[in-house]
Amino acid sequence: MDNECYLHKAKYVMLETRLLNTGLAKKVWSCSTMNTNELCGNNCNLFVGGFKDLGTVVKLLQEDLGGVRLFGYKLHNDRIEFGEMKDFDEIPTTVADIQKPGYFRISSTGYRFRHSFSSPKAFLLPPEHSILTVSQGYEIVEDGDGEMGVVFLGIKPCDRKAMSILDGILYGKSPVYTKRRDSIKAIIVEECLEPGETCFCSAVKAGPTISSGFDIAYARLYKDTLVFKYGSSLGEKILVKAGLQKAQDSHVKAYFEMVANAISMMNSRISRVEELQKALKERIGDKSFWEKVSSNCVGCGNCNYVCPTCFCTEINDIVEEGYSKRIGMWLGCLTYTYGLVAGGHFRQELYTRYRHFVLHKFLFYPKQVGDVGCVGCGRCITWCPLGVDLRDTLNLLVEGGTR
Amino acid sequence: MYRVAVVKLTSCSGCINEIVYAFTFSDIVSKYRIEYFTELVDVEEMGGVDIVFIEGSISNKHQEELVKSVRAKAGFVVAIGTCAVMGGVQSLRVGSDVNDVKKAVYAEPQYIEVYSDVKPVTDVIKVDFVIPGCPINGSALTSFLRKYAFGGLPIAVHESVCAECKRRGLECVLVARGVPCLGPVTVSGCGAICPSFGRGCYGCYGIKYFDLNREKLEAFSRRLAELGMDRDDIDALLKGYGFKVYSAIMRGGEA
Ligand code: SF4
Ligand code: SF4
Ligand code: SF4
Ligand code: SF4
Ligand code: SF4
Repeated sequence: MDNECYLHKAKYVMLETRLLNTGLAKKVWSCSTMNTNELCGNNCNLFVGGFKDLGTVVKLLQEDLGGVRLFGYKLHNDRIEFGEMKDFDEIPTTVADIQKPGYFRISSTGYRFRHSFSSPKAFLLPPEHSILTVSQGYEIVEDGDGEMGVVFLGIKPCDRKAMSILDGILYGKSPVYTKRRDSIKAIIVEECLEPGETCFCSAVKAGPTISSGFDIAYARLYKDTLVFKYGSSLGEKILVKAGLQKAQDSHVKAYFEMVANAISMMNSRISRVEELQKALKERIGDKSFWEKVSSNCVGCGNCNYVCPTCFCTEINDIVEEGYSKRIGMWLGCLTYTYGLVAGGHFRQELYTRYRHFVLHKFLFYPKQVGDVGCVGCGRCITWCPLGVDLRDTLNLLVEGGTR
Repeated sequence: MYRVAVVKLTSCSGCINEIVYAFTFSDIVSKYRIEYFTELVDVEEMGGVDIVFIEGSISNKHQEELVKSVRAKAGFVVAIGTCAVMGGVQSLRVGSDVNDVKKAVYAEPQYIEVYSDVKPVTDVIKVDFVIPGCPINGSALTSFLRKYAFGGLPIAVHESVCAECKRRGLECVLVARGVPCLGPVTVSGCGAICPSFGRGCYGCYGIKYFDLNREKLEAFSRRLAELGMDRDDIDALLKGYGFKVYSAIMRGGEA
């Protein structure tokens, strides 16, 4: 190993010595400039393979874990969504997504897929989930999903960070979320070497690569050239078993170059988070600013529903013939009902709800979970029917912003 | 046993079908007795009842008086359907010469007594609960009837069709296919039926009585026009269901 990180041109430092399953001791190195979200390719322990190898990896993982279900982005009839996959090969490999404010298309002229309107949130906190059932004799039965084992396949670094944010809010508190979260036995992440047009994950330290919280990650260098790395001993075991080749210098170089490009491109899309936070605090009371940036917003709530970190739900009791059930249903803060309480409304004017969305992501999540609540996936931008662009809002906040 | 009446004004009777259907559930029939309902029971005059469901909009003086007398005889009034709540499709004629409209529809227009305007029930009397929809969603009605029997009411969720669309896990037809969809400005309740069939919402639950103003509605109309929808069609859809809200917004008021 060279003693210099290709990406940062900085020294490697030794982190720890780990015992491999093979019984050999291995030194774990890392770039000295590494921060928790921008790992230097797991110490250049990169492997190389193709989609066939990814298939093998998935199969080995499923065998190892036994009886697990696969969830990920799947392509079906020209449509991509996050959900249960019947088979590994439903993964989108031959299409690209084109994302712009208020615009999404699947195209067959490219092959890099970022993400769909639905995210792992759809599994972790289903849009309508049963909480309990009450029988006619007023017996309360708590509903649950039964035992499951799940593997997430091909989720993105932004998705993975969104899970950590949701963990901070819901884990151990929401029984539905906790149960589903615990059912995830392994996570395979697809890193992004070419971000989408609305992505800005690197600016909020959520991507486009991943350094922890996964078992196996891969990045698509070229159409059928994948660079693999592991993030857990399970992942390491599987990659070794799959017999993957070590990546060559040319792969490593190309990988880091693409990552660096992706990062510099995305970083320029929004102002620095610290500046944003400062500006937000100063402009909370600037009514005309918030009215202006939300002037096209009609309060449809799409931004909340597609956001992988929005977690707000309404509890609704439904009376059926012979029993009642209590359900939790997604209900986001852009919606009029949000803030409506007996006797009044906390946020009657729409601009105050749009403002709350932005404030929650950038000022309040840090108080709740110790990090900003936006992972820069850009879904709220792409899926807003009116194309309201969060990046514009953020950049307008900071005068002399980068856009 | 709660005593129920159903009163029909100007409408297509689509919602009436949903009411009839709701009363086929045994747990509902066991708690309600239908006292007055022209389509079901042979009673000439409505007496005092606990709940009345009013379907349709008001087209003339006679209906207006009727609605007022119904209010006086009922403990709880539910406006059923977009017509009763916001005006409904018959509002399309507002703005045209009423005599031309009469001539276009009826062979002997001289017998038709009709206002030039359309009045939703909610304009004339105080209603206690509204269930919009064209027609209403049957499950909203059964949910009301079941909860009312327990001494409660369904929670009213004020949101767009988009919320239901997303909770159903549907991909947005507007964003992903460029299909004009009125979901963002339309009151929820249908369960996003149209987007579930790959077509755009045409606003049959009426436009939102909250969060919209002229500027926002115009921004949204421009968006639909960009997607190739005809300007006149956009205006017809916005006006044709949620007339009451639409005209208030166009007069410059906030919804
Ligand atoms: S998706 Fe767009 S229009 Fe809808 S609530 Fe969010 S910002 Fe407003
Ligand atoms: S706020 Fe927007 S960009 Fe940020 S995580 Fe949510 S959907 Fe993604
Ligand atoms: S941004 Fe709004 S919907 Fe999302 S978590 Fe915060 S309050 Fe809830
Ligand atoms: S936001 Fe980053 S991690 Fe997420 S899809 Fe885009 S580039 Fe990939
Ligand atoms: S398809 Fe229509 S109802 Fe559904 S999210 Fe899109 S605009 Fe809203």
